[in-house]
Amino acid sequence: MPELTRAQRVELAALRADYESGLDAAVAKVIAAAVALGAQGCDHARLRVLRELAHRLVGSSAIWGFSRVSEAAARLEDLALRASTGSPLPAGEFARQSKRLTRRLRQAVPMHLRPMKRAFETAGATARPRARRGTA
Amino acid sequence: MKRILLVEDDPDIQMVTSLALGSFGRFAVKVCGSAREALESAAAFKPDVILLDVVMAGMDGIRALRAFRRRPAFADVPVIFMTARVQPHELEQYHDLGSAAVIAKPFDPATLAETVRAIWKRHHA
Repeated sequence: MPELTRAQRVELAALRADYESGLDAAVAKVIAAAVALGAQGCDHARLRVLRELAHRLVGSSAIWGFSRVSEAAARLEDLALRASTGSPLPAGEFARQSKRLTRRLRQAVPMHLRPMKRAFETAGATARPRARRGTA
Repeated sequence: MKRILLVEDDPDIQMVTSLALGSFGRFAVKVCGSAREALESAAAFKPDVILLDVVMAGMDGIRALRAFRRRPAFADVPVIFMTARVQPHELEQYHDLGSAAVIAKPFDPATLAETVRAIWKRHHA
């Protein structure tokens, strides 16, 4: 099996870095889709959105070695699949499971890839912009 | 073997697969974001191999393979599924459909081109 040249390794590393920089946003999209389902109810269109977003994250994050993200996203994909094709989940069960799984997914993103606001929120506080003196 | 038609709806996986096959493997790669697009552009591209994602929005890889097989020009073009769905019953289904092989996701970008080349050689042995 021929090994990659130095230039090819650099190219691969650049692509990985690019993926890394967008990982937190991709995770946030999946979480937003899950939260929308919890808040607005499980309809098939929303479930499909969650399933597709989670599925993409499962595949791409695994290729780049983010196995915890991939596993957590796979559980959300599975939940959405069960909710849309299997026996319906009891009322409130989807929201309960979704909340637990989105927390797991959020925590799976390596800390250094989370923007400051997200890292702050994960620590249990709410980031708020400081009020400037002299402004209303 | 020179030309690979890649059918994959995830832009991130499109990019890394294109890099692995095009830049590293020196193949001509045509990327299609959906099965429908692939079916439309395959005749002009004339692929030697088709790489198909299984789970895609719209027409999935299974239906896409059936659609390719119905066209005489692609009846014998080897189709390789790239998927994370590799349970034994799923692999059996892909085999029964006539796929040449299955590459499990996640794959290693550094060795993907060699894997595809080996599958192609085995298919034509």
